[in-house]
Amino acid sequence: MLTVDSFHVVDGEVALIIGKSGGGKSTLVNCFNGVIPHIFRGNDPGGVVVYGNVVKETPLPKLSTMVGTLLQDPETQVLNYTVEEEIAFGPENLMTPPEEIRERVDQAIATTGIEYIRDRETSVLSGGELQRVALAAVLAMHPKMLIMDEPTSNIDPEGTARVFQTLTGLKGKNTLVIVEHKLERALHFIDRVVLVDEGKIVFDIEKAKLVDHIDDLHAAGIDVPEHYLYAKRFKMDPADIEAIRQRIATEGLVLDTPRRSSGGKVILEAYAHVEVPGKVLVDAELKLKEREVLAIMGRNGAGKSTFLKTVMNFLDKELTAKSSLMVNGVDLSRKSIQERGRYVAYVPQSFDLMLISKTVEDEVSYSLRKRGVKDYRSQTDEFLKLFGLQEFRRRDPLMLSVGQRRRVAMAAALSSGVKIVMMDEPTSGQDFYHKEIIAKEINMLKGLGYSFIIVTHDAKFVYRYADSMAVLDAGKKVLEGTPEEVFASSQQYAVIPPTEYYLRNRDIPIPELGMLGI
Amino acid sequence: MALIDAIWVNGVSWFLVVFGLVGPLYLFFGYIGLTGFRTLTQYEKHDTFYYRLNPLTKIIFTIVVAFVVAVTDWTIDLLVAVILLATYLTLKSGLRRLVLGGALAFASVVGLAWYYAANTPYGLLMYVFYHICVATPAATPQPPSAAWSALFTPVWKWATYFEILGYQPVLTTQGLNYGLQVSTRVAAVLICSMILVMTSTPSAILRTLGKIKVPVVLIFALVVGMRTVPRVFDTLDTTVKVQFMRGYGSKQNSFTRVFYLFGGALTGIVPAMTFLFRGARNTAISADTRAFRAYKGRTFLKPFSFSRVDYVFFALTIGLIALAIFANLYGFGRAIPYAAVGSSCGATSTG
Repeated sequence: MLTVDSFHVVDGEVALIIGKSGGGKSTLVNCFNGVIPHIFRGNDPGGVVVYGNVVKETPLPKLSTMVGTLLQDPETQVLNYTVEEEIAFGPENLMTPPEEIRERVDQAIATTGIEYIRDRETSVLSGGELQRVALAAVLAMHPKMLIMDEPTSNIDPEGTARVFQTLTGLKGKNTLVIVEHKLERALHFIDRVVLVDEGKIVFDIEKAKLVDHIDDLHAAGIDVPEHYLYAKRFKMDPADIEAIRQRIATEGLVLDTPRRSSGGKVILEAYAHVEVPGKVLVDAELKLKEREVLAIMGRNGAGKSTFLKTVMNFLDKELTAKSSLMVNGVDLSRKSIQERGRYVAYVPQSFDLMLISKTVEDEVSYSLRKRGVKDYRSQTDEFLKLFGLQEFRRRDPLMLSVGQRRRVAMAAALSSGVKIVMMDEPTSGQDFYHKEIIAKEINMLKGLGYSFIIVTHDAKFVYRYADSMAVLDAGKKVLEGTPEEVFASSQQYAVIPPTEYYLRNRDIPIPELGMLGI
Repeated sequence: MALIDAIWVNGVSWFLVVFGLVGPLYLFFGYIGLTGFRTLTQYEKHDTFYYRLNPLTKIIFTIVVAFVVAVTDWTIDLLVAVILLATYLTLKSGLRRLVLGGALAFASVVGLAWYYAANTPYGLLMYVFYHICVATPAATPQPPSAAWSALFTPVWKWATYFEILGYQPVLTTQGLNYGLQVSTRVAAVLICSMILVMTSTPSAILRTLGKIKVPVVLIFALVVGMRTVPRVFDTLDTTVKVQFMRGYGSKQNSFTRVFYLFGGALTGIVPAMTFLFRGARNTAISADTRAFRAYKGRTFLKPFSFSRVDYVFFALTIGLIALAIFANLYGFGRAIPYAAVGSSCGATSTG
């Protein structure tokens, strides 16, 4: 349910819409592009007018020539096999003459800077490249307004920076409405910020006034960049991070640094080597200590997820792979997935794929039952309690909210009795509120003796919660150490530290705005 | 002696059943696997003649193959299937695709032939092979009557309780012949249609079908299907492996593994489909917000054209039709006759 009394966007303006997941952001923009009511029928967009056209009375194809839409997940948006075919799809639908389609395709490719991939297959592109192809495909429709619904949620920092670079280039030419969790990334080129929460617009302000609304952001569960707090305190321009950093030093403020556990014995040693004809995809080894959170970062396609899959024996059998896995002195290198699963749990990015049972209770007890544990009921109860799932125990897991489903998947993974968890992109597409819940959960489990290997693009999450990190590049481990050590030189591998890191490390030069890690 | 006979009959009967059932199942899930199915349903860029053909040529060829195998004897069908399969060597990763495609075709032939050979009623076989109509099932000759023996060549007599499972009392060469007739047709068409999928981009098919005025909505369903099918196998593969990781099939061995794979895939269908349907919503938005279905037709960036290789292939297609005609003239026509309009059952020809 979304109720908006009045909202307008001026031609050529860049508006950022922020808010928690489920607060109504996507519903709002879906009223502009006609997805409501033309695709999601039964919803009334009220009196929304776009460039003089009443949305509910204007056919979607006509609206699509005025309003372009870029969604979160490039994988599901891209329909065609090659980049050119994908970009031409829209103009072809509009019965545009072939010569004009060619012109539009060339223009869109030039604008998005993807000339180097124009003849490539879409299936081999990285997430960032694919999202720019999707953006080019939207631009080829020549829309006046562009709606971007969390366009960088699923892509790496480098890809995110490239998408935002492209969007910066569009400023002034198109009206841009951006729905984004990554407040920090978009702030440097937007004009307005709109906070949507619980189906209502909380504020709609000029960017310069955002510093005065930090409390509203906190109340709505939005992650406020730390330097904004100091900008407000010192009455400074929040865009000038270097000046804020100097001021913090001048004032003699000592900022808290995240606490990291350094110790424990090594409990896991893993090595993976994967290749396709003519190319090594992964050749890396990692060690994990007891009660440690080890983050793996790197570009899309660096081999992070492939490493986890190889170690867990999940890899496509068409790939040539060698791996070794030693857990607590037990060599699992030649063991089956089932045997490895006794020691290590793997939670895929699409955690819904774990949910196969009809009730939460059955889901959590699944491993225990399959492994023949006799008192599985009491152990199931323990896990349900640990993850706060007792009240949902009879519910169908797939019918729960995203956060609840993730907790069920986690409880189900841990009920095998493992003490090591490998998580693939657990924060991808999650808002600040849900990321904080994941972080609390990980900290709680760490206290209970669990250790984690987490693949992620989220530098802020790593800086705040990881004990150590490794960076993979072209399948090789190129950096390893604490986040402080690694972030000092990780930019060359497209792992960009968060602002919090720069505020605490005055000797590290701050990159240009828009290139900061988030 | 009676005990030894009973053991022999039951042992061989069950061995044959297991062969007919487990053999295909093993090939489907144990050998081809979900990743193999993905390979057989996915386009990969390459540059041999199949890839240079206009998709319309391939569609016409597939239709002609379906027609030819429908009107010829199973030996011809098998020949066509084997030749088409051999051409897989010209595809990207040709040998692997040939082995996977061969396994899929073989599994289909064994599975279907087995089913039809053992289950097809004698009355139907009499009609197929001797053009004899039986008024009622009760009037159908049954083994070991003289009438039955005059018509059928027995191969194996099942244990008596197999009739409860729907089996005919005796497996016959006529039943096997009929089973092969049905299954080799399916195999040939399967092999041919996979060539279209593996060598044409979805957009090339979209362009082709658009040119021949197939409704845009149908084309879109096909194109999205082509893009989604490989993802279905990928996703199912993950759900099965996650179940294995959580202890499912802990006691499996190399023989029972295939059953666990099958069971895991069945269990994993709901989460896999839920996951994919969530993505499908984005696909629909992505297409509809780019003016899909704005008009009845579409224009195309790339021209729709035929090259020399298309004309060569058209010649081959015509040759295939000629083969079907000659095959029929020389007694290799279809084994299953159809009653001509207005004729009585007994007056039908083999065609």
